[in-house]
Amino acid sequence: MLQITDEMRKELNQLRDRIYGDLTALAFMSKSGGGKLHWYYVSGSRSNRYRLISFKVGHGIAGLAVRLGRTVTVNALLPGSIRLRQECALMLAEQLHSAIAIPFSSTGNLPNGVLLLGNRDVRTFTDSEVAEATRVAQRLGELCTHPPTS
Amino acid sequence: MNESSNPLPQHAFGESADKLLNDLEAYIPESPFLHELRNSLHQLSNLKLALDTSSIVALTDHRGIIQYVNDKFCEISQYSREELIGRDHRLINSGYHTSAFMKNLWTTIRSGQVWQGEIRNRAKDNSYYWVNTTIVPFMDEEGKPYQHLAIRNEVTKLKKVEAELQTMMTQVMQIQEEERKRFSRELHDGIGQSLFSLIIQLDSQLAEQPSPVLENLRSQVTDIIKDVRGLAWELRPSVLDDLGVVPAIRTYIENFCSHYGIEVHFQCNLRKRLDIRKEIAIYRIVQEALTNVAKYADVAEAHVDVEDQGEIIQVSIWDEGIGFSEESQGEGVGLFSMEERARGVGGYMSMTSAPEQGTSIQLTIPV
Repeated sequence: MLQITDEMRKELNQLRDRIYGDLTALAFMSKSGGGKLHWYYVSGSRSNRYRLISFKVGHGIAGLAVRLGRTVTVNALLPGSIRLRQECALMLAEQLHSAIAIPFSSTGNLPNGVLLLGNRDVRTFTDSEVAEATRVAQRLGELCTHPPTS
Repeated sequence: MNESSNPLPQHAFGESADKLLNDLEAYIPESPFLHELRNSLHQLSNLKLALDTSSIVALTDHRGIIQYVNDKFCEISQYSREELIGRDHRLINSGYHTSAFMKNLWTTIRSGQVWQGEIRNRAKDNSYYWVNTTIVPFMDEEGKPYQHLAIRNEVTKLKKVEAELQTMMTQVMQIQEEERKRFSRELHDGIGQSLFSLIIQLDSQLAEQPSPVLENLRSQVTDIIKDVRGLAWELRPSVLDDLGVVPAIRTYIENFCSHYGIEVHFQCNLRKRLDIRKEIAIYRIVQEALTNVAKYADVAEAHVDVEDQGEIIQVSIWDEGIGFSEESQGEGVGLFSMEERARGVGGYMSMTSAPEQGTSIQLTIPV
């Protein structure tokens, strides 16, 4: 289990304010390599459903970001977004319609975590907002130093 | 009422319009009234011509005794006018429709309402034909119907294509299931087994000489095995064939909960195995319905009930989510394929939903 520290919470809460997001969320792999990811902390959630949700690498916007190792965007204007949204249980549970997912790594190797920013309406994220979020994702990678044991 | 039970004049249905047109001047002096009358009769005569060319027309009294039929009626039913008039429609009854269907027809027209529907009839040579039928009852002063005008159009070809399409759908879904089963088996027993033998070889190597590189390799192969098994399961869970629909649904619900974070309350008193085609239909419909709940309902809980009622199995999948109205229904391929699956095994499925009232799917499968 990954321990969520106050500093991680602060990073996620502040980021949500700064980019005018409805939600920011952190998912982390339950064990090193392979395995599923779980949502460990969600800032701005409507319910606690996220605690039950796990997903596989490659599935939905967050899973795809981890597999590809790059930022993935979902909004109504982009083709293929419907599937990426419907495969992402957090987007459905939180009724998000726009989101970006940024992968990060706590080990310096392959990504094992992902930061998701989302809004409940259709919006776009500016380059500076994405840059800001990417910085936070890196910071989260550093904070998730101790590889969790499950 | 007397008038309707009289033996029928041959010109019962507008046949006299042409004759009247010819005789008009002999009875009515030239006047604007005559002019209007002539125009009206003319229009009526044209209308009748158009109707007779396009449709099958019959007129019956309140008991359903045929008083008039047009040429099209004779042509399609292969009976002569003399054979038809004075008889009722039982002559061409194909015995296809249930008594409830016929009762509904009679109740509707007796209450003075127009009945519309598709009826299968039998021609004189015992062949069948389908007609899209509209029956209009005409009421007397007391509000009782004294005549029924039935206008029909032949839709035999349409019905045939409809039936073919349905058979085709059922077959396509069956083929899809077979393919899934084959791929699932291949993945599980073929690739899955090969990977497993790889693990055994790695283990024997590791037993001789521990190595972190091999450990890492072993853990990666284990992950691939998990992925392959997961894929095989998604395609077609072997538990469905081996243990039946109830354990399969249970496992599906477990995975569903951890994937979508929606708690599913499952109630079930089905203790026996069913025909595998019916089990597949139930499983796929539950699967599709729950996926829809996850996608659209916006709820944290859902319910699945499977009730063995002896003759039938009643399955309900319901939620108390945002629901939807008929108009806002999307492309809905899912719903269509669920209906077809139910029909394919002799069952039927219905769905009720309203905004903020949740959605409920009711599936009835005969045992």
